[in-house]
Amino acid sequence: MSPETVAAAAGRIAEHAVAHRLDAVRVVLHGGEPLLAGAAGLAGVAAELRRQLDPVTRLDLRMQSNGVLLTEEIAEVLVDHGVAVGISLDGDRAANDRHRRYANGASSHTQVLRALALLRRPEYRPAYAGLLCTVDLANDPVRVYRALLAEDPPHIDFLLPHANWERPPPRPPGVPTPYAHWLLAVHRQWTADGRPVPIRLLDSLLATATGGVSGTEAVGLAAADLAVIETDGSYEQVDSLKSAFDGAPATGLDVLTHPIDEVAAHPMIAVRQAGLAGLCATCRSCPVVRQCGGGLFAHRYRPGHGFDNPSVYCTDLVRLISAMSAGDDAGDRPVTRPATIPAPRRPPADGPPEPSGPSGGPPEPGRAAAASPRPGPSRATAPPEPGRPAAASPRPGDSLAPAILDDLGSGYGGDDAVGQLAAIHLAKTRALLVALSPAAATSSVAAAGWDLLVDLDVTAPDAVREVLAHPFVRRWAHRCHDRPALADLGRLAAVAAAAAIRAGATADLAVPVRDGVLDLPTVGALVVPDADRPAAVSVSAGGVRVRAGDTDVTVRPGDTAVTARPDGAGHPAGWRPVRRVPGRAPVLIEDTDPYRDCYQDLPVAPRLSGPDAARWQRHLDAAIRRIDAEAGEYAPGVGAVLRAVVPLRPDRGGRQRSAAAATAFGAVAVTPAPDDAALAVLLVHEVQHLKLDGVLDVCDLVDRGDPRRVRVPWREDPRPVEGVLHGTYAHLAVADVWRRRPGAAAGAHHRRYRDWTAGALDTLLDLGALTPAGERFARRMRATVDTW
Amino acid sequence: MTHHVRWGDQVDRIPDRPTTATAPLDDLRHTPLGRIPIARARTVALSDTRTTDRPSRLDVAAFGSSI
Repeated sequence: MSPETVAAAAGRIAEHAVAHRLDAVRVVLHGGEPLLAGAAGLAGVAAELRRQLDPVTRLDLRMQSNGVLLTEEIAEVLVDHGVAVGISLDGDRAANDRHRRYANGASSHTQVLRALALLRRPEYRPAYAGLLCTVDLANDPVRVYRALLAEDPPHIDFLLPHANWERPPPRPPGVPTPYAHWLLAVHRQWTADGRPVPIRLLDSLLATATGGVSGTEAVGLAAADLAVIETDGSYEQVDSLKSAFDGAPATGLDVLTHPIDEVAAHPMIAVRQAGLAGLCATCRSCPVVRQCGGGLFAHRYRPGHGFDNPSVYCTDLVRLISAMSAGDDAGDRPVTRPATIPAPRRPPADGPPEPSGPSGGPPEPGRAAAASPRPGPSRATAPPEPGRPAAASPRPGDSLAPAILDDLGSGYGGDDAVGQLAAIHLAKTRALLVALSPAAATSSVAAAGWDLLVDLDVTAPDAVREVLAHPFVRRWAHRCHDRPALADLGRLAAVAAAAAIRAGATADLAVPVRDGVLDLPTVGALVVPDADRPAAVSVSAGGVRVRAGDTDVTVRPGDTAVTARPDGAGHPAGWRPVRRVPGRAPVLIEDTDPYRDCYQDLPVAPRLSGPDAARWQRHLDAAIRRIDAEAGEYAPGVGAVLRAVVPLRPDRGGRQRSAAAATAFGAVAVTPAPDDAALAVLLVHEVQHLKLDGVLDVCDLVDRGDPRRVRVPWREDPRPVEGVLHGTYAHLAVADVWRRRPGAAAGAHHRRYRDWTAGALDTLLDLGALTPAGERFARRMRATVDTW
Repeated sequence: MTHHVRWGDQVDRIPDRPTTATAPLDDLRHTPLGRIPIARARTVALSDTRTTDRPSRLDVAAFGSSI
């Protein structure tokens, strides 16, 4: 697509977004194969779209690709420009090779997996949108599902092969609904696994069963809201219509001449915006029509009748929906696997993904519950004392003492109080690991790691404590529990090896290599690009020897550098030692841990260069010193809680961004700050979140069953009550920091944050959604604000 | 009292903090990992995950500022 056409297309989309006041617009780059445009070409297209659309709407920019040409350079472009890529993958090698080979017949599977490994790296993970798989009856459905799951995708979607009444899909003799059986087999396993990843087609059917909205045009009655812009600027309807007849998607319109409203008025698109009324009589009278929505438009085509028909997959859809709705798919007959099945017609090579419905962004203002007082059910159920334990079976001693809770409620927290929060974190991590240990017994690598960790916990408890206190050890363990089907239990061996290294113990164990990197939490990471099995790690007082593939490296204790030497300068090749903040030894600059990408839409930075790391070290040291000097009441919290700072990529909009995650207690993620004064504010803000997370680990402060959303001045979207409490607690500290700084600008900042805090406290205390402990906590905050 | 950790160019110094009250979940810190009852660990661990029947807690809190 020429730059002129890109500019014209972006202009038309922006014009449409403004005219219709669209909250969000999704643009999908597809082909053919969009990676053929190369890094510069993709950067140009993405930059132009963002230049024109970012000021007027929220641009959800995506791409659909086979991934074969993905490189680090292109991945950088994708993350820099906020492009999320969906990769086409049909299952394991055998499944994928049925249709996705090079022209010479060679398999592309290895290249696709290499691309997925790249996208899984924390620094590129924001560019990983998910996997798109076309159903092929010749492939075993559960094996396909397992192969997709192994790639740890954020989303999975399944497409039915292109077909219509003229060219129906292949069906084995005697099996009337084989596609339903195939998808039901996936559904069964997915359900048994606890739905570890969203599957758009199945999620959409579940959503529409309860009156919700479909996320795909393949099912549901949502209005079609997708148009295609070809490389020459002509508008077309969805690509899937190409499977109906030659020229089916054509509209005769183009971006240079016509606004998008004219495309929307095209009869073929208009009929797809009519919901139920746009379907044939058979569909309109069908009991499952609100779920299937008549199926994909292209699947309805029949020569002589156009698209005024049920889907050619109608019987499969009815069976699938009925079985899912009734929950009776457990007894669904298995897929019949005939010896030969005619190859299904495929979508165009790496064609566009099915367009989705609402993007899942913040709730629309009109749909948010107003913040109004109501009787709080917690008042009837909560015990009278503050600090009610959050655990399902609380024990005496599982909650914070009232005096500690009061101290933290003031917004500050002395050494004793914040020390208890750090102790809670360690206890929670230990509980998570012990709860994982039975599952670890099923893996020899994990079991050996667990055994070593258990031994070290007795012989070298301080070393174990240092590793288990690392924020991302808890994050990893939490993810294992949260998604057991994807549990990375082998990391237990890495945790144990790290503890052994810190203890100076002697140990030999196998440690998994993940996406080409052997990571040892709190110690460092070794790049092992060609390892296809766990590395042999030998730990002794003299160092760590790692053997994997062609790699045989010994890392000695001095190679775990505090100083910010560039990688490779004085270290073994491929070794990336963890860097620390000089003078603040417990605080790591975390740019190696594979579990550090847990901050939603905030992309983490890749491994820092030596000069960048040195700059971070200087800024962090100065910022922490500044907190000590100008806001000493917050220094104990920073000292006790902060264990890692995760560098984020600079914000595209130039804002200072920071984040904290409850499941990565002790870590703060921040974008590069202009100076230590700005960084100090971000650190104090995020440590407040962590402090409150620690409290909430053992105390119920809000009624989590309260569904109300509350408007707050610091966010556009209404927030749940716990979110309001979090924001209030953090902004109290920010207001306090600015209060202590000289100058008119600081005074203005202080007043703004103070007013936000005071207003939110009034709302919280009037809402009736706090527990007695929460109300007491909020009143302590109120008392602090009232002293200013 | 200071705990010394052997690795790193600079020794970590993690001072013990005086406490006037025992921190919650004390048993989980002071019982060796191999002796913590699984049921006890699960009770505490599951309150940290969505597998409980409680609505999940907020996880990520993000802050954007022009300061």
